[in-house]
Amino acid sequence: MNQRRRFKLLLLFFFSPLPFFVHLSRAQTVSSAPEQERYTVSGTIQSANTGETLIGVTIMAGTIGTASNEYGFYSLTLPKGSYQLEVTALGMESKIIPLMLDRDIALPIQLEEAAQSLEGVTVTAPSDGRSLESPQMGVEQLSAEEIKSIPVLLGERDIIKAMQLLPGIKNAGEGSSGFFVRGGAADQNLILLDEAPVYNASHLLGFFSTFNSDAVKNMTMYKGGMPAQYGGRLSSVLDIKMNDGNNQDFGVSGGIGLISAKLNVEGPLQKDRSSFLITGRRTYADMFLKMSNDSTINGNTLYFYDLNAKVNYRLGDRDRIFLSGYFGQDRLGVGELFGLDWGNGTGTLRWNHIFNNRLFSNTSLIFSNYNYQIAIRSGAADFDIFSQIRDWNLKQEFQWFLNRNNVRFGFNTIRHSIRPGQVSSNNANIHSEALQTRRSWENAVYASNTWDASDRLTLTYGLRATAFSVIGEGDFFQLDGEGNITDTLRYGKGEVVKTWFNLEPRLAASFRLNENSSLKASFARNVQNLHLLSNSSASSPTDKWVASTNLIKPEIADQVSIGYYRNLFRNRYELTVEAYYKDLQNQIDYRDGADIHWNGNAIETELLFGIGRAYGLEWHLKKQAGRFSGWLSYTLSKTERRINGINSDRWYNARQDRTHDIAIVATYQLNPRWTLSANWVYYTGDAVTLPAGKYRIDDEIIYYYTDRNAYRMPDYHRLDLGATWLLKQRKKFSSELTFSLYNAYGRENAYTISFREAESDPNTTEAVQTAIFKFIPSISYNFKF
Amino acid sequence: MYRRLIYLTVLLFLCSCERVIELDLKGVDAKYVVEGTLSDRAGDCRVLITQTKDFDQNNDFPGVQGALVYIRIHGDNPASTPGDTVHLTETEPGVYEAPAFAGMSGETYTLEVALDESRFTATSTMPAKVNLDTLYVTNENYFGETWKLANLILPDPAGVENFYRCIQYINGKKSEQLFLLDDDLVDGLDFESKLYMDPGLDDDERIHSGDSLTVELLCIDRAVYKYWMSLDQSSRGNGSPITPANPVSNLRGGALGYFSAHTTQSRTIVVP
Repeated sequence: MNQRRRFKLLLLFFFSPLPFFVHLSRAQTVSSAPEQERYTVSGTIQSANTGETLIGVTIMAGTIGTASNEYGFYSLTLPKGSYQLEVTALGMESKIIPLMLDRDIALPIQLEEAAQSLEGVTVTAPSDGRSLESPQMGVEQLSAEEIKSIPVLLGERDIIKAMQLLPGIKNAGEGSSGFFVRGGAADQNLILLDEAPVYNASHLLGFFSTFNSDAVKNMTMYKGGMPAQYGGRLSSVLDIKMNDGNNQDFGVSGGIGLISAKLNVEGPLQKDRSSFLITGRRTYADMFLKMSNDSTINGNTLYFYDLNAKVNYRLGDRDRIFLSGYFGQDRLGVGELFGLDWGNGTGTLRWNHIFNNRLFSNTSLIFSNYNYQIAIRSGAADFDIFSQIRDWNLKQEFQWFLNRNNVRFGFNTIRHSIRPGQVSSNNANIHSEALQTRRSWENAVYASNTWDASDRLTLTYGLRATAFSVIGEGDFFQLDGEGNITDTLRYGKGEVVKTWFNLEPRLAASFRLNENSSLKASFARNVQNLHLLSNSSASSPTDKWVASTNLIKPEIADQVSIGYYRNLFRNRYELTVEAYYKDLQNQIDYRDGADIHWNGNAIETELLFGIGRAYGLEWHLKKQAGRFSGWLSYTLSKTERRINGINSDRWYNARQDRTHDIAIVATYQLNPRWTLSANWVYYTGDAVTLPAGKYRIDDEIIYYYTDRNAYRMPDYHRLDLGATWLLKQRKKFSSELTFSLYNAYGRENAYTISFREAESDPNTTEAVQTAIFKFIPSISYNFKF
Repeated sequence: MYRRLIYLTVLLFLCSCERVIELDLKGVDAKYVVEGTLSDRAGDCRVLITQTKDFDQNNDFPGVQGALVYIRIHGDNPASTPGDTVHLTETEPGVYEAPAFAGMSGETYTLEVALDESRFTATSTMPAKVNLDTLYVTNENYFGETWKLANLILPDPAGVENFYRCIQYINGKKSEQLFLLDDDLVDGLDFESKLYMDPGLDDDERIHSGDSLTVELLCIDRAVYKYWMSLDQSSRGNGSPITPANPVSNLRGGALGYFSAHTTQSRTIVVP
């Protein structure tokens, strides 16, 4: 099929169902309630205690219902009549509101926080985003509240590490906050903090994530079937929303742990109308370094800090403005010799506007920046290397709540500029040089509709159209098959080098089998135009972001998935089973021996391209109600790559290919004061390349490699234990102590495998595994007033 | 640098539990390994031919006998005759030498090895010689300890790309590390460089007062630089997070190894 015909078919597909819907829904209306008038009830849902808007709250009127959007707004259109609105949300007391619907009604709703809120897992509502009706699948949600009890490394609660315990989401190595979703690479996750992309979501060489869980309201991960409003990455969207700040009362909360301290201050600027929030966190591992008598340790620098701030202001009933920002910085130094600082900064200005009870609008202006700076101070070698990626981003979205249809449409325009590297020095014996800045302009328009086709069938169909333009000025290249430059094309300022157009259809359907179960299916195409180049299995702050060029094509992923959703034992247990198949195009890898840090402007000479595929089956059994809660997740999967020029062009296991991946998470509320928790993980060792033989060069043993990733690291398993002791809980003040023991049975999990001359017989070679975390106990104190 | 970061992280978490493990590694058919060197000094023209071994075998690599080894001169340097060949004779099993032959800067050489049915070739150009001006030792605060490190200064020629390999000897004992330099940021300037040693080295492998310190400077071509760089990055089995691979070789015909035509110059000092 040629491109144009395909496009036409897509258009046809996209627009044709509309009249069909109207027809179908009208037919239904006629059969159930002839000539009946319909009215809309709408409003914003908030927490009565803090004024925080609540996301994903379910509002049901009998069998028909809706959920509040990411700004807490809901709109439900029903035939005239009297209803009992049932409002349920995780961590909140459910509420039943009698409603006489004989006209359009504005109904703001306030929910009380559920009792035992400090450890509140006594909730009976279905988890957000997992309703049986919603066609959305492959979605995982966690709130800061839910992860509170999970035992953690060094007492540092981490929302991303909690996510890694869910099916289909794998950590990028021991203790790492990097993750792989359904066979995707670490850079194929779109990580959004209040809509702003975060380019490096890790601190301290990846051991901690940039998200301070105290500032996080809600976190949603899409592993598949991404809604059309999201784009730009292949594998997943991790959408994190910050708290807005309490608009009822001032509050201070904080915590002191082994390696960090946190403080959160929030309160109203003007009660009910506006509020602010400031959250800060700083690690003091470096203080410990300084305390050490060991001179190999105390001369070094190693810390990070984060700052989140947000203000919001309500302008009347229809408008609300938010301004939020994040700033985080890591500092790492080896004496005076070497320093590496890196950090993200984001800012988001948002305007919510309610046009009427059915039309909601959000406009966002977003800034995002990531940079690192390397300082070398070693005698004559005295210079700095600076690199930066910076985005300006404008987003407009409308949500239109129609009878049985929920339409979203909008556009997004982003200007990216990447400064790959700039060397500056005060030493006359070093040249100051800069690689060319790469500029690009990414545009997208999208529309999607979720349609309750019948009481059993719900459909979402959408389309995202993207255009990615590579903009001058700069040199662009033509290469031969060996990666040698055959021609250099020079483009002037603002000249368009290449525009890549793509259409991304997004489809999803759910079919309700009965009261307790439903079947879902989805298809999504995703396109990625920013690529992170890394030649190593560990993430480094200096990994390189590059945009698509005339030679680097957009990465494309097509994913189909099907799922079976079932609620068991009167909704106390939820079972989710999903299967997926993903096809990846234009995947990128480095050539062997690539010079990855300073290779001039023609980065393409160091790259190889290929394809990938991933498939798997995910099981998730979750219990939320009662004193005992937790989940069991199991993923069976396969992830492969085929890159021209690697492994003799044959398929090989991607590094993140783990056949089995199991996580058990359990929390038990012993009594009102004590909560105990445990989690156990087991997974097949990562695919690794191990030597097939050895030889001697220059009197050293060198290893001979044949197949890429043909071997496995030893299987990984670990048990963590935790306990939370509620010291005080009063209305004005509450405090708790949290204990964790990471790797409770001291399993030495291999972090690396290396080879050396055997200590017993230097004429032979031995393999040595290194483990880094063994029995890591921690304690932290948290308070709130 | 990355290994230094990992080192620091491991220090922070204070646990680095090492354990010898058994791996079930499949062996493969032995492959020829050709290591060819030619310098501007007579006596350095040598080719070693060995074979790979399986991982669990011992580390004796016997030479491969009976190869025909030639070096062909391209004749780029006006002082040489195009098409001339130099025959390397087998002086010990697997060691092929032409003791009287010295190369010239600016000349390109092709190594030709015929062995059984196989034929291996590699081409390398001997770069212009850059003088190792100065060698001295400084005391450095290195991960909080004081280390003595070798420093050198060389006048980098302008307008050409230069690649260097340094070999460090402490009291005549060669340091294991590869010291590779390029003139990316210092083209045409006085290139001052420190030879950083692996922070994991034991005290007896470091530089001390009174030691005799020798640094040999090799000017190598781009392909040979890439060979050593890629070997260092990904073939030494040191557990670096970089995906392991064979070094990028300039040999054609399916052998491992390299052929390097380089200049050489040494300086020796007694460490103060």
